Amino acid sequence: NLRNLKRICNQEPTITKVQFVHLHIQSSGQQLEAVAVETASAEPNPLSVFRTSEQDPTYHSEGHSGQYYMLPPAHIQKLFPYGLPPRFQLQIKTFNEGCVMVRPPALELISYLKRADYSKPPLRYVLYGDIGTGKTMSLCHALHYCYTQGWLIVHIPDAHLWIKNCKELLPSSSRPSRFDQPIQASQWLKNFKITNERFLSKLKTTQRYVWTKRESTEKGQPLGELIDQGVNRMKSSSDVVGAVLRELKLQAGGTTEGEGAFKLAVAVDGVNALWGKTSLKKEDRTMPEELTLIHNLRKMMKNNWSGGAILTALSQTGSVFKPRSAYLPNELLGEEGFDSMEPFVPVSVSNYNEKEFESCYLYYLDRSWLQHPHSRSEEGKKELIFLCNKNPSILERLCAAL
Amino acid sequence: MAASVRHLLKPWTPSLCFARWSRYNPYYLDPDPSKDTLETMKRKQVEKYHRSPAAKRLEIECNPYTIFQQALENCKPIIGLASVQKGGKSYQVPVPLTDNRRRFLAMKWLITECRDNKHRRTHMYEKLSQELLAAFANEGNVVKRKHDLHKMAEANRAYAHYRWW
Repeated sequence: NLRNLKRICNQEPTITKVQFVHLHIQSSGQQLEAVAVETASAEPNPLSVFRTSEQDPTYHSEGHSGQYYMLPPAHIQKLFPYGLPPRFQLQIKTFNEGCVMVRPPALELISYLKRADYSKPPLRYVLYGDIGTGKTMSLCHALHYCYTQGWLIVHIPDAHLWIKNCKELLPSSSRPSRFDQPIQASQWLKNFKITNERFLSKLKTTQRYVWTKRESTEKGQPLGELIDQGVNRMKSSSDVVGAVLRELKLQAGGTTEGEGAFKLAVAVDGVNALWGKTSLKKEDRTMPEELTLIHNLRKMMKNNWSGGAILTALSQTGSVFKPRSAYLPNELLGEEGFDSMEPFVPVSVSNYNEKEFESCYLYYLDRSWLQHPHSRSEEGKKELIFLCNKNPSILERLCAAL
Repeated sequence: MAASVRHLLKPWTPSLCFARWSRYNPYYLDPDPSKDTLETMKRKQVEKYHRSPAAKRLEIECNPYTIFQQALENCKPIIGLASVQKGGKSYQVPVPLTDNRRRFLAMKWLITECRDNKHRRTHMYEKLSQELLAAFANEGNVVKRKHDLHKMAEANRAYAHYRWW
């Protein structure tokens, strides 16, 4: 009997370990089921603890943190034809679905958006963090929330593209010392039209705009005409962008009638581009004094309007003349930028924690992305953790080659 | 490369001390060109996998390493031709090839095919991945070249006795 007791005592630790793991899976399964009961959505698959069936960002909460939710394809086409990071677009194409992880910074941002008072001037939110931690993805998550709530979206996917590598730099038609970028402006207007189709016929201009001696847009015309003017006539497209932004600012919070009221979400990725130096040069190789697009965006960043929110994210990867180690708002925005953006709500984005890494790993396994047999073992997983330090973008690049 | 040439660039007098970073530094890591090919191959296969119905999914191979090994196998010729001179004339004689020679020929054909016969504006890793996927399915120019070599060897069977080794 003593021998039997000893054997049982020696065996116990293994049994408890198995039980513990089972409980762990069960508890997250219970979380999933509790959430499913709340939202009354489809039957959750007990094997996929890293996925959630809740597709509406409005109902995402702490319980969903670390789980992947699917972006509906219709929304991706309308809202994000150009806004997602290029590697993520490749991933959507490969996996035939777009899944975004619900993470604390995005949840924080969405909770602020839910509770803000929209009769006051807009709050500025700045997402900052080290390279590759998921600032753009969190911004896109929050933007998806705004889209599902029916806001008007002004999304500049990367402000750095407007201060470097521009093929054409024309002197502005309206003001002598300013410079235009017709290609970027018309590209942005086309994308703006795709995202906000339904608002274009409802909103009207409040002022007469004169483009050339023969062309002008009268007061009271729908906004769609203004945008068509900018897309067709490349020469005045940057001025059209300025006019559109001005109209939106004036009409955002104003009317309380049913038809006219809308909330404006201004989302700028790489906002530190607006106050940095440009790498563009005029034909005689001197620096341009002012760029129309940048000037209009800077005016948009000031909070002298009401009825919306300004979501921004810093970015070091596309920035010019900034060292790679700089990631804090102070360093990237510079003095001028920091003073113009102040006061703002900073939201820090960091690397994955244990649970999020686990979730990402399981997602890649599920989508049969990790093919190397060693990467599917426990040691392989530890090696991955060591190599990427749980940084999302580095993990993605590592797993691509495995 | 850098780790192997380290012994050539040690400071050769006690008073000498290197001040600058150079790519002959033993801690320099050479860039790895193979991971792009593997990634493109995997992407194409995984995309095909996710878009196909459940019945066909088991047949699609997604592991880029197995695809590469299998494609290389499919490109290796079994028998080769050697030029033998007899009685003033030189004949193409079918001859067995060693394993090394087979591997070498398969890789050489893949590389030359990608360099010469593909569109100018694509990257080498893209061209390689297309060719490897075609070879995995036993199609494409390299496998055709191997078959041509086999046919030539079969046609020249009569001269097999000219081989004396």
